[in-house]
Amino acid sequence: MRIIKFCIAYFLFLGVNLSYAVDVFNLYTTSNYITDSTVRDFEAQCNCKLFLNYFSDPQEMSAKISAGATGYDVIIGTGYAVEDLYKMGKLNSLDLANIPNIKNIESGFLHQKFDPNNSFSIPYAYTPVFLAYNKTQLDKLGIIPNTWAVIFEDKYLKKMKGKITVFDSQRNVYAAALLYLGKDPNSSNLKDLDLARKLITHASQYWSRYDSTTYYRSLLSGGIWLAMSYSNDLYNTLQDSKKAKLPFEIAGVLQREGNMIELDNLVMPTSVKNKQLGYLFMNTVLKGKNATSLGLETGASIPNLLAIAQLPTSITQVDWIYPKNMQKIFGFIAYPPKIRILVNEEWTEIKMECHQACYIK
Amino acid sequence: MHVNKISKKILLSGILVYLFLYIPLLLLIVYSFNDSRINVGWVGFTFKWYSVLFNDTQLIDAALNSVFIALIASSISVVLGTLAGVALHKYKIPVLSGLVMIPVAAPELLVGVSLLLFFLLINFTLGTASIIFAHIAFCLSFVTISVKTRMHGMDDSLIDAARDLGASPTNAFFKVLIPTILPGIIAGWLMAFTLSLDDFVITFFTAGVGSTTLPLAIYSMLKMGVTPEVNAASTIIILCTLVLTSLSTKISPQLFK
Amino acid sequence: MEKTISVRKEKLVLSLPPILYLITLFLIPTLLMVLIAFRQPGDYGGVASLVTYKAGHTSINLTLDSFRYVFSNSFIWKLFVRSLFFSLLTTVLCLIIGYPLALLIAKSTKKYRDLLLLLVIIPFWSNFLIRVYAWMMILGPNSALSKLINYVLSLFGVASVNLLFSSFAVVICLVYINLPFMILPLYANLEKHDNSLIEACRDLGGTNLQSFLSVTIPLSLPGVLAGCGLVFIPCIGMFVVPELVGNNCSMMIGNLIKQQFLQTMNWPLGSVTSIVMTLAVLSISLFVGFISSKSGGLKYARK
Repeated sequence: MRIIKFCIAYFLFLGVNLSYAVDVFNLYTTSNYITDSTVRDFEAQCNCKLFLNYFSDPQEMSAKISAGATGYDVIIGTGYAVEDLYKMGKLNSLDLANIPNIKNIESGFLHQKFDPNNSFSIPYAYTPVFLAYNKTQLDKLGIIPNTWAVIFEDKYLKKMKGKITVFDSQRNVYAAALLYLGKDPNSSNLKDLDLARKLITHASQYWSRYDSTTYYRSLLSGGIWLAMSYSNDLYNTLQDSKKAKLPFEIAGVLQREGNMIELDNLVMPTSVKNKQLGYLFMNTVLKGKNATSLGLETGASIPNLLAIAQLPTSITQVDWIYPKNMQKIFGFIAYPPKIRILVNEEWTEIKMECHQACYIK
Repeated sequence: MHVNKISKKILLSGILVYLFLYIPLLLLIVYSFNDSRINVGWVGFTFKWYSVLFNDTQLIDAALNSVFIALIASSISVVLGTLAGVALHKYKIPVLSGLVMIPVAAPELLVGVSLLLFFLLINFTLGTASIIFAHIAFCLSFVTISVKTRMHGMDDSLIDAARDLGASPTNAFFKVLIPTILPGIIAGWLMAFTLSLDDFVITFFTAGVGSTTLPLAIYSMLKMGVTPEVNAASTIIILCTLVLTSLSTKISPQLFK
Repeated sequence: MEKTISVRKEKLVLSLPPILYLITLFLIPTLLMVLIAFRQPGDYGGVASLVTYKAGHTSINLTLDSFRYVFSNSFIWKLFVRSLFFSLLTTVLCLIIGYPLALLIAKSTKKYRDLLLLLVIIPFWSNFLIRVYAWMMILGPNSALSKLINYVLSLFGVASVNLLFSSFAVVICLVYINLPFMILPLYANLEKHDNSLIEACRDLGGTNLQSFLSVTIPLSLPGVLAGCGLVFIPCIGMFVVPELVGNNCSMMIGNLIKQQFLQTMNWPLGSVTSIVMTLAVLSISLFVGFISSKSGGLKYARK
């Protein structure tokens, strides 16, 4: 008898769980990249549930999608990653007539090299890649990290051994090295890439780890002094550090050789269930008020004219959120496939090999 | 006299090991009440992380999803695992006994990665369904072992007696065999349920859209930057474990033998 | 006659569903992976098509390149060696820490035994990520432990160290999350020991230490082996712990495999690495199993 009761209770529970599944709209993005108010705005319009799926690295996202993972309705991904996906036929072409709010976007961010007519991608937000640092410690050492040399040259590295993190992202680390070498950061020239590889291999013995997601915690705890950083992460870190009354100061600075920006785009994979909902979502996030809340709450740089007008100057005047000299700012272009495979293997080797003499450290 | 001396040494080292096991967990719980977003040093006492946690629909969805997956995966694997356990007890089936041992002996990483390849190559959408299929596969083995162990101590003559009295094979199976080995089945079910609920590696590779489970959610919180919300979530999970473990020792003491 | 048919039918009904399931979800995926190891990586991840037609010429794209790459690259071997070293160290530490506790539980009276056992199982059943996170807090640069250690180091004039993000942190976490796997089988074995053997050893004039060394330890060897296997095998393929608490110099083979499947999308290379790892684990387990069955045989022979 007890068993029967148990079974009934069990199937009731299953039933509850199944009925719980309403219409779901799946977004694939990095964490902290859409605000609650935008989610509510969209859910009110679509009468569905917006489900957020997170990835930690654009390459991880494109690995999963290109390998055949389906079910996502809209993806927010960085330029070179969505470019690859489009070439593989994993993305739908967009009918811009369904996204009237595209007029809000600053024209400088439309018509990117990888998608001149915005036929598959719409700019959503961007972030420069620059160095964040523990100002108190670096002042003591007399280092001003306004150049990429501080993460590549021995005279700086020796003073900060084990106190540096760079991104766990092949594209960003190679781009920094190429910028430091005075080369094109998107170079797929084998000689340039080899120079970059040697530079990185040498410098990596002084770096603590490859980290693109938790480095700001290390900055806050004082364990790391210098970190390759995104603007939205540093913005949030500064907000937190004000409250925490830290015994040191954290700051950010652009590098004089130039900086990359990661331009994140809205794209619609071919597996989208309902195209109209996809368009509705894109149009919703491009609304002035939603873009403004994104800029305010996450510190992401917003290419939205209405939002820029609304945001306080304490944000728009920050150089590492909205760089003034756009001449020194570069976007990523996807590598040709063969180069990508080659550089990926080099990167794996750099990452996995311990270049320090001491094994247990 | 000598006996006492040795037990004292053992007792002391035993206590030290318990401290090693529990101090980290206690710290985790204490810091869930810390009034600091970055959780560096003790700032002040607060319950706010628990209210953040209970309003975090993403995390609650993930927890419900975990329970949902664990219920289905453990139930299906109990059926298959009982069949396998009975079959292995009654007959020598080298193929089956070999297959059952794979998930126990092979590294989880291999299982996860090969399942990822498999699902992608047959164009199966990664998501809740693929996780359930993967979980059944490794839970099945543990149920089989549990059922087989139970049958080991069973009197086979019961079934023969039932058959002699005119019961059909099906009847003998459901009316005699199953009730006798029920403790083994329940123990296997519990084990499968916990394994599924707790699994990270295989889930990590087979998860896809809209199928975030609790361990995956915690992993991404650890990777993306933690707030004391993780401590609060951990505290709740530890409490649930405490209750469930105590309950299951009551329901099925043989699980721990 | 009728009986053999029904027996065969029953055997089929009972064993076919689980066999089919396990073949589909274990055997076929593993074989697929072996096949992929011989393919070429695709331009955009995945694998290149098996057959290509170029200017009327058909070629089949099977290659040993990935095997060559894995076997000729020293960094992969270093990763293997490091993974083996970390796993071995973890196993030994678990054994040293776990043995006294297992002994304590086995020797305690029935009244306390269940409680003591439960106290081992509870941390074991709370998710391992939580347990890693606990150590991330303890080892963080602002924790009491870090400050104490760095204070002591500074007394000796040694520069401060980062406890978190180090190989030290990786091994501590591995020990912490795997310890119950060692204690439980050890306990299961120690509990069965016949006290009269120890008493006999005493009566023959043996000291506590002697009886421990000559009776308890040899008798517990099967438990020790089971525990070591349960700790060692999951350790080898671990990628989460080095990722969360390690630094550049504590990556393990699991990190490489994860990287190859989820970042660089080189499936053939990832497959080869996984296969080599599995073969390494299997051969070590078989070797240990072989040794133990030999020594076990010897023991019984002496009796």
